[in-house]
Amino acid sequence: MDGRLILAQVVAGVATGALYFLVASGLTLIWGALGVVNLAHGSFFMLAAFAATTLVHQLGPGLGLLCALVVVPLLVLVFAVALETTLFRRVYVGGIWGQLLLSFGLLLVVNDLVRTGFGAVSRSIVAPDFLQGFVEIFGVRLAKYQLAILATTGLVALYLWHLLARSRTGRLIRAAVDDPAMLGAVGVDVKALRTRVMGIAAVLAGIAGVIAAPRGAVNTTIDVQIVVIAFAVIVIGGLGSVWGALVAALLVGIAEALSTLVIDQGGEVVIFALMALVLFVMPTGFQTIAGRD
Amino acid sequence: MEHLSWRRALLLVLLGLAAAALVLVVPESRLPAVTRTVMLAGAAMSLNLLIGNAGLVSMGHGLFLGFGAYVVAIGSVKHGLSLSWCIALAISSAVVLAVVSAIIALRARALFFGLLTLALSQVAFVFVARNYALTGGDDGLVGINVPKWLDSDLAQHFVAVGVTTAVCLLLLMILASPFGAILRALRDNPERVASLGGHPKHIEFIAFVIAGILAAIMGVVAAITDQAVEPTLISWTTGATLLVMVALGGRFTFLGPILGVVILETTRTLVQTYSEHSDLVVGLLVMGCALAFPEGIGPSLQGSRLGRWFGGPVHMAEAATPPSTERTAAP
Repeated sequence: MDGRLILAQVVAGVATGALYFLVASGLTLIWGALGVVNLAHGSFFMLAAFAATTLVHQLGPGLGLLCALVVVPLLVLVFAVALETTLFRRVYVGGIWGQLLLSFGLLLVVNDLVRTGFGAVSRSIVAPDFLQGFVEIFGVRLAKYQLAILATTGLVALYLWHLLARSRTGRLIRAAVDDPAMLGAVGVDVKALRTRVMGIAAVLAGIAGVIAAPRGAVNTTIDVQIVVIAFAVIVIGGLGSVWGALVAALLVGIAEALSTLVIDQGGEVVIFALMALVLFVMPTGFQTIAGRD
Repeated sequence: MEHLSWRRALLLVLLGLAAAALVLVVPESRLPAVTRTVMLAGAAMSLNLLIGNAGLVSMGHGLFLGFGAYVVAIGSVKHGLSLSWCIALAISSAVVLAVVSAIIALRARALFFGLLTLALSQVAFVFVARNYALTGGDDGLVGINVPKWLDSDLAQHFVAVGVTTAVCLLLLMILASPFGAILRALRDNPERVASLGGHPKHIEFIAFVIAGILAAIMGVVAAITDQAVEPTLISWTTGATLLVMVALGGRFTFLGPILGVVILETTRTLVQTYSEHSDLVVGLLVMGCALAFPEGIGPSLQGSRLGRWFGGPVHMAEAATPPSTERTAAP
């Protein structure tokens, strides 16, 4: 096995991991700030991916994807805010069981609606012309679209870092993760903050859904697929920790990509084996918020 | 507090007889669906030993269900073993699997425990779904040989009902025993159990192994009644569905899981015959229940006469605790 091939796989793995990070970071934020295990988080991803394929079919690969990247996350945002204010808000107090039931039901409903609205047939779209093919950097052949994914997710991650570490919203979110009761007591509108967190998480999943669409088949099983992987990622990274999720997502992506060099199929088995291994050694993941085990 | 009384045991047997008597009412074409519901009811009951009584939220219970089914299928289809050998093999190897996965899964606590069980079942699922030579891969295995007396929908239904009733009786005995009491004590206050000289890990370990073996037995039933297996039985969809059924029926009520299974499965199969939107209807039903009965339907029946039949409340302290109190422990 030569080094260049391995290096190319590592880059591909980082690109996949970057996508996982976008979904997982939202999931981990929702868990941290809302205390909700949102099984339906992958539905945002799937909705975005289907909406992106529709736009690309209508407007062509270049313009369609660009439009999708702007419009679709906004639509997902509206959907998520509507869900939060009408449904999720009612199950925060009741504890994990009501949330589990609600998000599971939501998963089924959205899946059924997508199947009805977009059809059960698997869709695939091509990347825009200028993002097709490969470039050679230091003799390593890299797919242009992977580099585009890396650039986009890099920007989004940078914005997320700015949002969480440098803005007032971020400080409030971190405070809500630590102690929502105290945050409410000092006069912050925790309700509105939670809506905002749900919105941010949905936008992240929406962006991931759009840029993932040209990479593979878009069908009605990807919602469950991505949310299970995202759960693996946030568990490895430590629940509630965004940057733990980043490390874990890259690790998972690279491990998955490298495993394809050794075994034919079954990259997923590597993800869950990794998760079982990490939890066996570190039962709370890399980095967990204290008091939330 | 669960207690073993003749009345409750008799009630279970009567319930079993009623389930068996469904063959008189249900049209023949619907019988396999009813049999499947009965099988799932047994699996959900075994899962609730962990969820409602030990406080261990396992999300990967499908692992054991699928394992039992697959051992029977592989033994019968690939190696031509007789059914009794397959069953013996399935149950004995399920003990090993349950012990190993208990050792791994019980390393973690609370939500992490659940996600670790999910990871284990997903590893098994991908292994089974990709390994065409041994397990038939995505297509599963078809053509499990059963003895002649078992080769009818009627006989299979009776077997499923019989095994599920036996499993429920066994669970009632376990829960009524001192072991059951210490299990619930552990769920409510592990530190106290430890300070009184109990071994929380040992007790949880035993509960996990028992639940795993019982689920594998229900898996054997699934293999016999379907005469075929497919990998989704192992995947997290099965585990999550069972979890939702338990949550929907009420995890603090002895027969709650059965209630959840019956409601969800009946709705699903009925809607399926009229339209393809069974997911939509079931999803809306589950969401409605989440808003109306976040602790499950069973407890809200508790006050009525019907509710007393389902068994008294076990302990509702957990239900009354708002999540905010768990979070104040941050440094």
